[in-house]
Amino acid sequence: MGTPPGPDDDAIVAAYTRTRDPELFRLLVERHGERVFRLVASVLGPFADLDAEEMTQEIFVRVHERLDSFRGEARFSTWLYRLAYNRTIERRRRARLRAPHVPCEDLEARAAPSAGPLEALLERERERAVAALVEGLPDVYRSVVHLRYWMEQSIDEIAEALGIPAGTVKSYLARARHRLRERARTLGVDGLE
Amino acid sequence: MEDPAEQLIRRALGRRPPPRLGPTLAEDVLRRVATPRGPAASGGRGAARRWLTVATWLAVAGASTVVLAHLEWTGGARAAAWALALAVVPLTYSATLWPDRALLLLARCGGPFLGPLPEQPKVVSPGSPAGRRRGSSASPR
Repeated sequence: MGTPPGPDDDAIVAAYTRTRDPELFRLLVERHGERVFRLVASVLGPFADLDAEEMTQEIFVRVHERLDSFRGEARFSTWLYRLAYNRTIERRRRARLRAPHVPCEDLEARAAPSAGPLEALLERERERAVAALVEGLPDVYRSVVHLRYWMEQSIDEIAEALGIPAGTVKSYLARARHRLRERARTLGVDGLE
Repeated sequence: MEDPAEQLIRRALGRRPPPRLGPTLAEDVLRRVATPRGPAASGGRGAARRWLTVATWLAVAGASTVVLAHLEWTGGARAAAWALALAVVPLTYSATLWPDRALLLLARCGGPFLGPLPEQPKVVSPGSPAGRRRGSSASPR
């Protein structure tokens, strides 16, 4: 994911605010849609009762409404991702979280052939507890954990999505795991040591 | 090589597959941008409501001031009246914004003074089993 070819974002924004040509706005959406979507999904996480694509659309509509107030003091992408992150965090706080649920068929499908039903159930309960612990992490740590372990993003991709250095991503991940371990120890959840 | 804790986190989160972005994001966004939004209409209503709120607030505040300034009060009564006015003005302001909450607050505050509601006598339809029973016992034999 490098800089896309063609005119830079700020030039497109300037041209769009002047001409209101929808094709220019389409270019911005196509250029940043995937990354905004991943960012939104990582903030919402697996259990938020909100649709990431719907939220992404809403963010671009919001961007469109506020484009006139974009002064170009920061890069457009920085402004966009900051807006997306803040807006999604705000929506997530108001959203209902679906409690992690264990479907029976999933249990059967995932149970190791040698493991008995009790072991499988315990394993699933442990996973459920860990998912709940991740949900309880502070916003930025939770987003990094979701991007890394749920959405399978590389460190560099996470750094780019959040606009932070790769070293900071590694540090956040380490701190998030540390917090999870501490919390798991307090609550008696094993498997995270 | 990933440690077991990371594998456990991955399994825990992997119970729901991550969402995938559909191919029509740009079209959907452009359609939403081109369509006048519903909240625009409610935005107009919202502005009207805000003006109504401010006007009500000003009217109540003005009326309270006029009444308090023109009537003869003893020192204590004037202080009590001002306190009441100060309580009424924000309540009026809130009532225009959240009428349901304001009513609930009034009901809760007024409940202890009003006492329990009087019990209504039961009205029994003559066609109902109870009505028939009562009718049958009252009828001359």
